[in-house]
Amino acid sequence: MSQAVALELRGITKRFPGVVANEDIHMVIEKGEIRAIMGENGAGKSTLCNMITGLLSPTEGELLFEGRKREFHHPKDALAAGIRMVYQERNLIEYLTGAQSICLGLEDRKGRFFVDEKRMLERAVAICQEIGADVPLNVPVEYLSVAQQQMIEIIRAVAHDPRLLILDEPTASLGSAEVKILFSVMRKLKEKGVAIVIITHKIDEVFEIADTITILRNGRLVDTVKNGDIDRMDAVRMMLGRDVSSQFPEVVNTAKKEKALEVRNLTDVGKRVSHINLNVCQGEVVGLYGLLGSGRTEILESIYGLRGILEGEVFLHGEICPPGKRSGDMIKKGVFLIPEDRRHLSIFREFFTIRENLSIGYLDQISGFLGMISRKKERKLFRDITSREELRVKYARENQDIEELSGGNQQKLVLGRWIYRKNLELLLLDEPTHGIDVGVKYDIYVLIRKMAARGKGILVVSSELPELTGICDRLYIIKDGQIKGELSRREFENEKILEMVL
Amino acid sequence: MKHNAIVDTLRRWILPIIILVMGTVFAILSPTFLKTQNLLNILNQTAIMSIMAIGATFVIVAGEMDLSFSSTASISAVLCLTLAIKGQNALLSWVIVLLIGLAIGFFNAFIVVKLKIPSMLGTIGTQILVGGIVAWIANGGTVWTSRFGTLFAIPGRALVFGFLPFPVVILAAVFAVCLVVLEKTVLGRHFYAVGGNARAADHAGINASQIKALSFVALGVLAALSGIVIASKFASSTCNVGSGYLFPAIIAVYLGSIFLKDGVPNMWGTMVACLFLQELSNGFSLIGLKYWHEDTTQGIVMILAIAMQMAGKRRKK
Repeated sequence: MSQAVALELRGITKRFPGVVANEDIHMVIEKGEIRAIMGENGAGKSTLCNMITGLLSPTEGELLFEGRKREFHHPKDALAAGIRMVYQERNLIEYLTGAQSICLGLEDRKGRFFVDEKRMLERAVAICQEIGADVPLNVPVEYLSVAQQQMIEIIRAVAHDPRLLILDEPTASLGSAEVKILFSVMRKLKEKGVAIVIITHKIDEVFEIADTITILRNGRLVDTVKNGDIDRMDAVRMMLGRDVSSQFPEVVNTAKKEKALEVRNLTDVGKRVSHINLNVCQGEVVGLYGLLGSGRTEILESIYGLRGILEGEVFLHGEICPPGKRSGDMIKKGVFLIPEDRRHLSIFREFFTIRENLSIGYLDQISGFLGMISRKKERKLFRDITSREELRVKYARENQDIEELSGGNQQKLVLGRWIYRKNLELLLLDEPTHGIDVGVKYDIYVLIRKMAARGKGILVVSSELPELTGICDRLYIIKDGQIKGELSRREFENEKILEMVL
Repeated sequence: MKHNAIVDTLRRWILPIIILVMGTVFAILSPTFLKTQNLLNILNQTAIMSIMAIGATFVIVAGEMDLSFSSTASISAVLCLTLAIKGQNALLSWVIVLLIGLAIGFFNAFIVVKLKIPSMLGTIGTQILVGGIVAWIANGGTVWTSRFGTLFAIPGRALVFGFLPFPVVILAAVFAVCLVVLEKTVLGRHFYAVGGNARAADHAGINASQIKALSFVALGVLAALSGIVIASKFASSTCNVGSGYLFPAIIAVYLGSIFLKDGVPNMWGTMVACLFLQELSNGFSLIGLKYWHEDTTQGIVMILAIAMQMAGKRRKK
């Protein structure tokens, strides 16, 4: 066994009742290597990482860390060995400051019992300076943006001098500036000989940062390759196990003259966006492209009545929407918003099964006298919608918890909640493919184009430019709460667009 | 998998099973327990607390808490009696106390929805505030009367068809209406949506603030109704008569959440749990045990029931 190997997995298998999550995984990760693990949701990436960090124990197989056979029964065993993981869901304590969060568990002390806040802050500042991150360290983390919180999590992992660092979708909520910092941190750690495992859906990032790429599918290891040996299409093909002719469906212009939405000179109450002018025609897919925090979401929320309007008007089908309207009024007018933060803003985890999660969008259509809901109609509606060819939601039981579905199927269910409503006119989609597998992403793109072909107006916000240029008829560029430009499909050029947002 | 299904069903039906087991034990130890008169007694005795628990179910389903309804019941009972002593028409006094219940509900809605005070804290404020006012009205003691009209006596004392106590009739009506509203209608679905995820409900076009406000108002009115029954039944009321019902009613809602649905508060569950708590109290006194035995048992059952439900949830993850 060479000294250079950080982690070795020998025939790791994990069985759950009725499911094999990982089967016979062999993997060698060297010190100073950045290994990307790719695969669809449900491919077994998380289970594998949870076995490395001691959250789960393998059913079969051996795990060697730095040449020694190890059995981690609890995350603290793995932590003690020098393995740290940054989870996709943030695990911060809201009222602790950045510095306190970073030093949590490694607090400096004055004497035996007292915490030395000053030294802790100094240490946190030093770490941030070293890696070039700029986050506020002396305010409670609950006041920080999602991206800043994620950076705190990453800095916290780094501060503990890990010898193996696992990052699960670390860039999902980061802006491009933070992604740059993260990558430079990863390169510095690599020089120090730290082994890094990164799980991500973003193929471009994998090609930018990884040394080697392991691809999982259905719990099995498909292949481990050097970065550069495969291209984008190869990666997708290996993940899906089938050929994908294209990343995006064909775009046929179905836009009509009539405007589904027109926004004139809109400024929101918090002045996050100002003097916005935009329109969406029936049968048209329009993109809003801008960086994180540019005001994209705020525009959608102002249109949808979740955010007050200071100035300006919103017209639906040429009719002005009176100010003070609420989301309920917009829904009656056939406008639906699908938010980015699925966990907190779209799905009902408690109290509702997947059936009720879907039917909440159709209660008026399945209820009768005195608002009595017909269970029979509700079941029929659920089966009808989830079995549609274009939606195909995969589920086990109608009374499942929604969290048992993959992210992609959750999103399909949330889309299904609105898109078959009879009065649908305009869809507002905020990052519709956030945290979703490649395969399901394609399904959603197809669905978006289909809705357009049926004459609906669609406004899509995304921070992935290729996605917008792939499916949109027209694009607005936003920066600092203002519209900086408008491009039709013929004018889409990545360099030009990026120049406008940066 | 099959085994799990059986365990799941058992877990969901554990409450009625315990009711039957305890009932058998009581029936063996005391010959009176199973007599029709005693069973009617149990229903009659549980009515006041159950009406409050049914109201509390709306608030808890909507994701909030209300600790003020005990004071609402107290003010309602004390005012009914005070007005009766002054010779006021019973009907008028009922309208007045129901409106007061409504007002207290709106007040709670205001401090929780508009002032954004966490409901657990805000409603403690209401409880103390209203409690102070009741004590003021009752001069810090007990209000009682022996001179009251026939109408006044109906809600607590009348026997329908000569055997069915009127509080049971009121309870049945309240339960039927609330069961249908919460479990069968769009409005009820909206309560669950708001309690499950208020922000997602807002995105789905449901006015979460309105639903929460409505839940406080419903509980306010139902607590006032139970106060009317208290006044009529006992013709006497201390200024904090409602406080004895506060925790049992809330416990009933949580205990009831293990019935049928895994940890989701629901109307059937609340009703079954109320019956269970009353059975315990009735049976214990019949076989000569004291209230402290009952309290101890209630505590143990409550903790065991919820531990079981949590274990079930954990296994599902």
